[in-house]
Amino acid sequence: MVFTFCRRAVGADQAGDVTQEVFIAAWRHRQRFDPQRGTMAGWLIGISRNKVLESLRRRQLRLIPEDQAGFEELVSHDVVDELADRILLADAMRSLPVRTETLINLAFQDQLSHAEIAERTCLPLGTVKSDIRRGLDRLRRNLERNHD
Amino acid sequence: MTESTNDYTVAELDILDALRMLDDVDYELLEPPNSVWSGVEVATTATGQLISLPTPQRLNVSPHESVRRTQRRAKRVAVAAGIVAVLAGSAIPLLRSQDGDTTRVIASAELSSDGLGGPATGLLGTAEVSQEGSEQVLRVEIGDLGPADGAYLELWLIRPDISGMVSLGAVRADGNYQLPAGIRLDEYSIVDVSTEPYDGDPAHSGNSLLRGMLNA
Repeated sequence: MVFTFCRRAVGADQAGDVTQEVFIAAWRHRQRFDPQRGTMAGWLIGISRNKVLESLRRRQLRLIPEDQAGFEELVSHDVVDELADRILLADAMRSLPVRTETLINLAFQDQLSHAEIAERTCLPLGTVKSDIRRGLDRLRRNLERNHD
Repeated sequence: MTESTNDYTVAELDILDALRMLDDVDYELLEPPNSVWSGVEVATTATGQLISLPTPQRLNVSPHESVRRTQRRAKRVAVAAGIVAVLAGSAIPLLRSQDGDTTRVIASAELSSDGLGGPATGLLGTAEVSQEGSEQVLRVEIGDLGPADGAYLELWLIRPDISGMVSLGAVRADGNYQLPAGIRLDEYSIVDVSTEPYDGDPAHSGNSLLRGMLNA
């Protein structure tokens, strides 16, 4: 997941180096990981995001003379953050139980109501509701990136 | 949105919207090249000469490419899994040491430069841990090991499998070091003195002068 994110954010040439920086930083700062505050995946993506931004900034400094004002703005935090959220969400989906993942897929892809999903999957309505609720709650919690 | 909207809270609808925005490529899992894991392994174990992560079991067959690939993959997975396991483990609160009101030696080690492959040979030292009330204090005697120019000595406690190390800071003349509260000496049982360049890198340099195992 970390490499996938880096590969898409900084490109094939730099992705390996940045991934390596991420895991070394994670190791050095392992005391800072607090499971009360988020998941391991969220923590790693938080570190990855910072390392990606550092790498993009370094590259920019090489390309643009230092005295040229406003170079900071060229690194788009928004784009990197959005990518981090996408990768993290996809990773969280992969980690859901298969049945929950299937039900949530029906909910967002086919835009079915709980009753329609229950009908289509022959599962009790209560099971559909609780599975989807629990699954979405887990996805939401998994999306909380740790920014330190 | 459709009639299904009624089934969800606003927060849940946000997640469903986010899921709808994902492309197939977001679900792809790419694997980094081997060099990434070996680089991480070198950096996190501080040294290639003293330490190596457990290697996967060797397969007793001729080294077909597929077998080698399997071994490499197993190695990579071992490194990655090891790091994640240790990261997760470090979050578990350490057990508090028992309070006591007398000073007593609870562990000791003979330090030696033998077998370290470092710059120095024939060096000896001792390390002793005492319980002083609720605190544990490590006393180290290593004689005068004046480090080379541009370097200083640092004291470490290390797990035998190198899955973790704690720096106790630069070696000082008085030789007394208060241990972090709750550290388990049966886990961090290696006392290590390294020589560290002034390079701003807080990790172990990989150059150890003295080392010994604490016996409780």
